[in-house]
Amino acid sequence: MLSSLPLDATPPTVKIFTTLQNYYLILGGAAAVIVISYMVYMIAKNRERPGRQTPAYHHEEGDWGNWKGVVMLLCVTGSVLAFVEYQTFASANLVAIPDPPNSIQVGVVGRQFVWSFTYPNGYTDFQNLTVPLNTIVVLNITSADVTHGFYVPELDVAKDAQPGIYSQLWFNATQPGTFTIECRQLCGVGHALMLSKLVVESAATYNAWYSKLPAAPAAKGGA
Amino acid sequence: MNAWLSRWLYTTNHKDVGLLYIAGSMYFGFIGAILILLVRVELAIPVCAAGVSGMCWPSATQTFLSAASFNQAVTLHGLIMILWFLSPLAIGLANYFLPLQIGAADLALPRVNAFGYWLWLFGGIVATIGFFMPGGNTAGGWTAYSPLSSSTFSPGAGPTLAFAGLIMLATSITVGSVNILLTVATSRGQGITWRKIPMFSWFMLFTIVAMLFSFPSLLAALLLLISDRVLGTMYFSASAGGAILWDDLFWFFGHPEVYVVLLPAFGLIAEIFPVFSGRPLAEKNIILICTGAIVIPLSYMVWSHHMFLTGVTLSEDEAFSVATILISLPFDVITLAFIKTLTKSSIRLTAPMIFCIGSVFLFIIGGITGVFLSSFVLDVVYNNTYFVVGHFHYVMVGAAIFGLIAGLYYYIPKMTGKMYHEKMANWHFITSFIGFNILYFPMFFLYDMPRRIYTYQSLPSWNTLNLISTVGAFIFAASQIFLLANIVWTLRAGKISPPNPWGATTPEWVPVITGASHGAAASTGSTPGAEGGEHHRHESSKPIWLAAGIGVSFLGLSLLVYSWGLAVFILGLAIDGFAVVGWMYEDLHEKFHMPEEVTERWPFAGIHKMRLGMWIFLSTDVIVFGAILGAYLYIRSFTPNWPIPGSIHEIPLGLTNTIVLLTSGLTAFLALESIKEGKQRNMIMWLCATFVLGATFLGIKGAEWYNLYFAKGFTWYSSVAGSTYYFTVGLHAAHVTVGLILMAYLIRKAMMGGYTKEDHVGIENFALYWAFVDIVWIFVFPLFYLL
Repeated sequence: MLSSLPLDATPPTVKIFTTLQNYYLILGGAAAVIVISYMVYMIAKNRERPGRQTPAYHHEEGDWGNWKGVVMLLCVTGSVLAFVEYQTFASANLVAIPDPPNSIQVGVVGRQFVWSFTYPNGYTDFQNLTVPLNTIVVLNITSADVTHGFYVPELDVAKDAQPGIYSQLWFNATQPGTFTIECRQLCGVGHALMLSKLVVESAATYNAWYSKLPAAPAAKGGA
Repeated sequence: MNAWLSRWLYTTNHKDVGLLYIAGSMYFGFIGAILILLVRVELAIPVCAAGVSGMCWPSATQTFLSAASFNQAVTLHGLIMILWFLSPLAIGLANYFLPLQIGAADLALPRVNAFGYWLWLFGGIVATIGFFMPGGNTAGGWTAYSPLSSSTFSPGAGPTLAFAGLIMLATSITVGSVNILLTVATSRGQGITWRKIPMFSWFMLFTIVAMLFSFPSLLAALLLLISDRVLGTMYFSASAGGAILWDDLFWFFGHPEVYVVLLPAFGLIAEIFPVFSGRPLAEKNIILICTGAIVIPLSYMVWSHHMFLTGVTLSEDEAFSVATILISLPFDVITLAFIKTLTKSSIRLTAPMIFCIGSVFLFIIGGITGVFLSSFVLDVVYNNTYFVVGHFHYVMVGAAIFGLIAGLYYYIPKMTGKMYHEKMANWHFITSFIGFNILYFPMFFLYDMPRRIYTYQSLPSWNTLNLISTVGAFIFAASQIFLLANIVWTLRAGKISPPNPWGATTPEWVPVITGASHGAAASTGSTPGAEGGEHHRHESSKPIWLAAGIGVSFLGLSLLVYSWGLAVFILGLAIDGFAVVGWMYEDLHEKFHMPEEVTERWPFAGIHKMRLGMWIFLSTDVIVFGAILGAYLYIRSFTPNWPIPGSIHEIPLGLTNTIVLLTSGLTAFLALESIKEGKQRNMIMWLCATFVLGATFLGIKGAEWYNLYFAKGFTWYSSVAGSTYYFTVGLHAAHVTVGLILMAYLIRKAMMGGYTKEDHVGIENFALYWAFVDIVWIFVFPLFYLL
């Protein structure tokens, strides 16, 4: 899914996530490999076998054992953890909502088992979320019944949709096409099939489509 | 009755109860495994795209499991595996070995222990009966997120039954943890000072502390939920904050629960690693400090990392993210201390050791992926995907189950007196370990697949990984047959084991205590739990009846939608009444007697065992009331137009009632003071006064409710204000009622001369309890009447 996008057109949210994930993957993977290899090596080396002398164990440790070693370990792992945590903080703009002047605000309501999207002019779409290319879109998400989870895998963005609570998420689609919107919070029997489409069009196509929308049909209610 | 049957039904012996827990948890583990194998079959292949056939389900409605069945299966798999399999398996081992390790004659409160077991077992049965109700069982995930779990979105008796079963479980765990904590504090054999408590017992103690304050939060949440479902209160349905309220109450329980599952396994590793490495455990004290002083307190402060996507503020995300990443530091130290134990050693690779190594191996992977999830940014993508599923199965199945199985192999010679089949155990490990990794490792690559979806559209990356995972699930499940076969083989054909086959040095293998009844007898390898004359034979039929009564009444409560539900409910209450009276009768006539032994009990030497027990119990009750008052304030903050003080409740009447209750607190105190001076008659008089005042309080309350309900139309199902009022005040009234029952017993016993100047702990405990009831009212009254 990530590889299907050319690198130069990677959406900013995906870029933030992937960069951050790489820090965790590389450092976490290295830690796992080092610790597990050391453990396996120690077991192989020290396993009881014919002809092996049992090493004499000295009670060199006091009550607090090798506390210096523990402090050192805490410093090392603490630094690594502090480093990745710092990277997380630095990536917080994935969840912090930007406020540029020309962004588009869309209201999203989850209900069993369909998403609806309400545009600034009041028009509500029960099928697709249509957005222009290279524009920051801010979604205002809530639910009409139970908790749902709004999730667009290709953009690496997600937020829970909860009754009575409005939460926001943003993205900037840099690649035209159609992407899947999924529900990620178990919401009942239709949970797996609560899918919608995110349609990303060029600004011109989008504007043409948007200007033709009927304004706020009363029957549909909206958010 | 058949002697064999009555022994197992009426036993209060900690070893018997331990074995019952182990057997029961394996039964539930089997059910949980079957459920998830169904789920894995469903997920093995995708649903066919239009016009395609082959390795896929024909259409979204023609899959192996329907969406409804799938949701029930995953939900109950989670609940059963965590609460009816993993924890109880550890509690079973603790029941058996903790008293042996600390040289206690038994658990501090043997009948309460047996009661806890039966309540747990019947709770599990009540929860699984839900499958057979029209509409099926609860299907909203084991987290039972509100409002999906409300009767609007999950109607029917099935979910109610599951939540009733959970209430029984939470109660069972709470009384069980009070009991174990009390045992460690006051019943250690002579010579077992705190410094000499073995590692498994220490880790069980930490586990208990993690349970002690987390399960009451679950209990409070479930009481509110059941009240919503059965009585129609509106905690989770009518208010805007209902969803978040559940999240907070649930995860305040849910996160410590992770350590509840994990720590017993760590205790077993800390026990087994040194024995099979031929050297002492490295950094023992540092491990204890890390767990007791850092992991346990922090475990109560990280719950919100389960709620990163619920719309909490960024600074809240950051704070909980830092707390979560901090909790990984002590685990680094513990894991590396375990590995350090393998240095300068001579390692015997027999089954207990191999499983422990497997446990540490898998914990390293599970722990490091947990660090990924502490990042609130990465969590945006990982939240509720198979990455999370993979992570917590590495911890809960990998680290916890492998550790517990290690404990089973380690202790089988002790429990059965026979040695298990080593080769079979080795094959058990090899197939489990391979099956496990085939099952769960692919899930880390499925980090874009939402969990709990019953089917999915064909996607090359998902299809293969899911199929591999399903194959692994069957290998892992099938490999457990080795364990069962091994247990059967050991019982029937196993060679007699020497008393200390592993050369361990802890007290359960090498008794060092003089005077304690268990240690010496146990290592001879006779039938479990029946070491003849050395044993106090203390059976009681009351625990199982009391638990059965609660089970039946909850069954009735959940089935109130049917006309006969009420009859079942009343039958349950009748059984409970019979059991409670019987229990008290046993006490009055000393039918059930546990000899008090000289024990090591610093720093609680001057405090009576039962009084300490009451303190611990009340501390859990504080959490229940705290959660419920917190829920009230939280919901109120979300609800516009709260009635003005004085407009609904009559403040003068409430004030009068407050004075009545506080006066009864004074008379209870005077009763205690009288008996301290040895004045029995005065004590009985003051107790009677307390009883009358308590009854008056309930009477005035009843009149108030009658007036509110009928004259003012202020009901629990018409407004959030009504819901919170009736529920909180009702819970307090229930405490008063329990106090009245206790008082009836105390007065009866006092009339028989049961309390003296020297021995009056019953009165002391009651005074404590009654003071607690008063104090709760001091919070309830202003919050509901004056504000």
